Amino acid sequence: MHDDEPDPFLDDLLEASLKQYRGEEPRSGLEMRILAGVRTQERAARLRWLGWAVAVCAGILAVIALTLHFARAPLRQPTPSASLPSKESGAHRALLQPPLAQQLSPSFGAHRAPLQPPQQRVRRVATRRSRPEQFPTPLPLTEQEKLLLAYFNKTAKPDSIPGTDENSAGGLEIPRITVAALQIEPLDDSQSKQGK
Amino acid sequence: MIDAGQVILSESVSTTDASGDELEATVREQARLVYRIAYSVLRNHHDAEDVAQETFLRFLRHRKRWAEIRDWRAWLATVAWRVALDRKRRPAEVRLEEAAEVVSKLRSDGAAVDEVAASRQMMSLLERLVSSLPRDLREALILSATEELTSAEISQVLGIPEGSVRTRLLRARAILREKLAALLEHKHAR
Repeated sequence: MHDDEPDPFLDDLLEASLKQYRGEEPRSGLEMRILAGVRTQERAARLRWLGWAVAVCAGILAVIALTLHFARAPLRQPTPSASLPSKESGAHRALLQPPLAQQLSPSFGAHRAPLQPPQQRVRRVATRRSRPEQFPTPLPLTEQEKLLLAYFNKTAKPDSIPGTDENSAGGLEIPRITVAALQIEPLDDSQSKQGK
Repeated sequence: MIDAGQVILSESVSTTDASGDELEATVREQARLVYRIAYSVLRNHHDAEDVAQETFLRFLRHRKRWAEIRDWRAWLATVAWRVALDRKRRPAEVRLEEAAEVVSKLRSDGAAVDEVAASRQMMSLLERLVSSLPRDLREALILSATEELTSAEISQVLGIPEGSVRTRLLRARAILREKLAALLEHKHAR
């Protein structure tokens, strides 16, 4: 057969084959299967997202908790001893601190050595706030306090309040109380035997 | 009248949000189109359904931009086409000579055109011939063979002018006819 001669069989076969090529009809329930699959996958994706969100939140909370824990840790460290003298008192520190520190903890100096200057400062402040080792020096009186003291000195003293002084309480007489002497008679032996 | 499938469908996807309703409506209208495009590429029912599901999943995840979509059919067809191409595996090797021989024998025996076209060997032969076409011609022919898309929609999917689609279709058919004729007449002449 020549190429320029049309072959109706071939044309019809090609058309019919291309119609077959598009495939059969989809099986019934295609829409339902598609929707069910889409919803399942979407739900799974949401759950995965939720899981990641929870994990991230938990991680953030853990970091915050650890940060807070380590931020408060220097304040909780106890002082070496309540009876130890102040570190700032020069004579006591020079005499007592090295031997006492060695007795309390052999690694006392080793603990202090690696501390950074800011941490040392925080620790000292915390120690001072938690337990004052030296009673504060009394301050001089203010002007108002001096005036108040002068006023009390000039006015009545607490000893001379009326009614509290024996000499000035002339109107009040307390009668003497007489108490009769007690007489105790000896016990009779015969009466005691009859009673039995 | 509502058939049983629609009742089951409504119950299975009953949602209150608007996107769920929109998805359900779109699936009802366009599932067949998406499936056919996927099948035309993959030539397998299961794979085609998987691609259809993936296409509508992408459609649902794209819901924030639904307002930007002008032609939903073209959008879905494009997504289905791309997903199917991504999944396309190497086609099974068809022994061309053997298939052509069977088709030629059917013709010699006086079988009707529809009978020959429906035969498994003819399908294998056509698949092999289509896959041997140049890519631009093949894509236009596959989308056209679904009989679901117009030339304008095919041009949107492929991103080419509508006139180019028509030209490619004519060229693809001409090449197919030539190759088919060569194969069958070669066997017929033996």
